[in-house]
Amino acid sequence: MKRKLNWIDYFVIFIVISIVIVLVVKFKNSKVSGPSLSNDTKNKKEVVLVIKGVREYSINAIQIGDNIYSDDTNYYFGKIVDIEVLDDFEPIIKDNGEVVLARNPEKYEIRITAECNIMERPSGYFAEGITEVKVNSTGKYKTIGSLFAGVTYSIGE
Amino acid sequence: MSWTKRIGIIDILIVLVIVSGVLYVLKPFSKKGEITKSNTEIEYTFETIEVGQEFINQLEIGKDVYDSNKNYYLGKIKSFNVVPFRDKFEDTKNGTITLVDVPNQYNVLIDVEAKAVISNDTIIVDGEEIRVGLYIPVKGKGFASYGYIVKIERGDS
Repeated sequence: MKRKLNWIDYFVIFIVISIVIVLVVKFKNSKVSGPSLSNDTKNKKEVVLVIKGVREYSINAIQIGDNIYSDDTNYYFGKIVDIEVLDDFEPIIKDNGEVVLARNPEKYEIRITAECNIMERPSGYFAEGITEVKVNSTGKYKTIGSLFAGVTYSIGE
Repeated sequence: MSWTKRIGIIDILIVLVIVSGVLYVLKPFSKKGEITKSNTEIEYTFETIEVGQEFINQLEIGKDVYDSNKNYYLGKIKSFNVVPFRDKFEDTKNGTITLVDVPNQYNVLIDVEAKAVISNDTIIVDGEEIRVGLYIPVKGKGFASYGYIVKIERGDS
């Protein structure tokens, strides 16, 4: 004999359907804003980060092929494809009032080129759709062996 | 009457939703479990600057060091190297910057050996993520100081 559905059964069905709807909506939203964004909506761009006034220790700790993560968001930022090391200079005022750029001893400027999956939105550029990339902004980044503050120097085409 | 006959469509729905919910919650944690190497011997160098002779006298090879804020165990002192502390001197006549030794002030490079867990792009020693450029408070039996990690040597590199 078939049992008739009572109000408790209807209540359970209502709860289950509500949970399913919430899960579906949440899953859809995470696909739009999360790191799992499909590749066809992102473009590979080369982003140059500049680290100023660091010692040889930092140069040795950063290597081509290392993955970079944003230390603020903890999300993947890009992969290092090139590293350029330059001498670091500092402005000083001479006795005659002339301003010159003097070599900052034992300090260097590192220019890191990272290949990033950049998503372009009206509000800006986002690495992996999450970490904001803006020229002249400073961010904290990390690789497996280093932690550094870098200024975004350029966003490639 | 068999117990299987008592399972209705509502029960199946509930089980399905609960299983889906659990899988959904556990999904983000699955990537973090990709540990590639555990208990790997590493050696890293911690640099503390501008310290006096009394600080150096407290350093002993083989003694334990800890993070003095979080109390994480950071490893054992393997060796240490004392060099003079040098400060920047601006030569405003010639427009140059030179480094000059400061009397009775020293920089100490402390080599620490520890067992680390190396997972995806992270080196962890007892909960502390070790990276060149990390500024940490370190303490031993008779000393405490702040400083940067300046070098990491891993068994695999």
